[in-house]
Amino acid sequence: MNQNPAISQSTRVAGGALAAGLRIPLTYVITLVPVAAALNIVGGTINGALKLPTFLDMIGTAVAAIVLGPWWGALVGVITNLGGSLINGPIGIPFALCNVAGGLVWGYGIRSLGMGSSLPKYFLLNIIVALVVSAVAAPIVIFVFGGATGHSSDAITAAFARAGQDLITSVFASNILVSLADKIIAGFVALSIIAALPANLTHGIKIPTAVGMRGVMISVIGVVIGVAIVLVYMLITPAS
Amino acid sequence: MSIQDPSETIRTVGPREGLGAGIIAIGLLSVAVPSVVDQLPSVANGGSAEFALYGMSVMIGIFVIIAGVMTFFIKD
Repeated sequence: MNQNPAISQSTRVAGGALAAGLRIPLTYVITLVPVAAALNIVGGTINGALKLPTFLDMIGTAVAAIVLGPWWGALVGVITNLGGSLINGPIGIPFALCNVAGGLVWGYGIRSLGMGSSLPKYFLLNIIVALVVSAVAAPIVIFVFGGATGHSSDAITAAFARAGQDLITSVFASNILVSLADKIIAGFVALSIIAALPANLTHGIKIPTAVGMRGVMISVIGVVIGVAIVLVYMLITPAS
Repeated sequence: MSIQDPSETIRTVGPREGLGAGIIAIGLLSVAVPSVVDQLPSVANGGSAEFALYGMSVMIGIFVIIAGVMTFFIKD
């Protein structure tokens, strides 16, 4: 019988039992963390070039947080925004905190709270990520950048402001709208990337598999309707 | 002559190392923010650099506190 716990752990890893909480081969981490950060930077750059009202810079964060763990996701988030600042300027550095928050929520949600056990739970997790990231991002937009960062979502902020909302409400509302769409997209793209990873890397992690398009479409339509209701309500209700 | 099992030589990392990496990342962020904060308001016509630095330091501090608290709960 093997009495050495370190060897026992390594053997279990080599045997494919990479359950949440067990140790991960260092080579996987060294490979996946830079790739995830690069994926974020590429996604963010494409998003900026196309001027989409999303961010697309947290897909790699979601992959790393779910596969490796929440704090590895946080590391990917910081690398993304610090590395991206070399390309896009320092404007993205404060938003590294949003990437960190997203990584922590995705990681702990899947690995500690079991929110990947079913599709509705995973969908709910993505919404929670969006809300948490907005809660971190909106104060940065307001207090560091004065309410506008040059992102496409500034137009939504301006629309809310023209409708009579104050700056804080406008920034929060536009950020939540954009973030909801962005994090749901990021979460499900990450899911498909994780499904394409080697089985021994994802074995033991509870995530929805073989997601049917019908379920996703129903969920997305539901969110779109909800967002539209909120949008109409806020536009027709002037601030007191 | 014994044949060594290659699985015994695999270096592995666990939650504790992950947490350490996360804390290091936040530390790097706290180092990077002051070096660029004077450029941020000019980029977006926002508030003063001092206020931006104050706000960012507070938010980073919150994350470091979370990381520190998690070290008490995390298990290999």
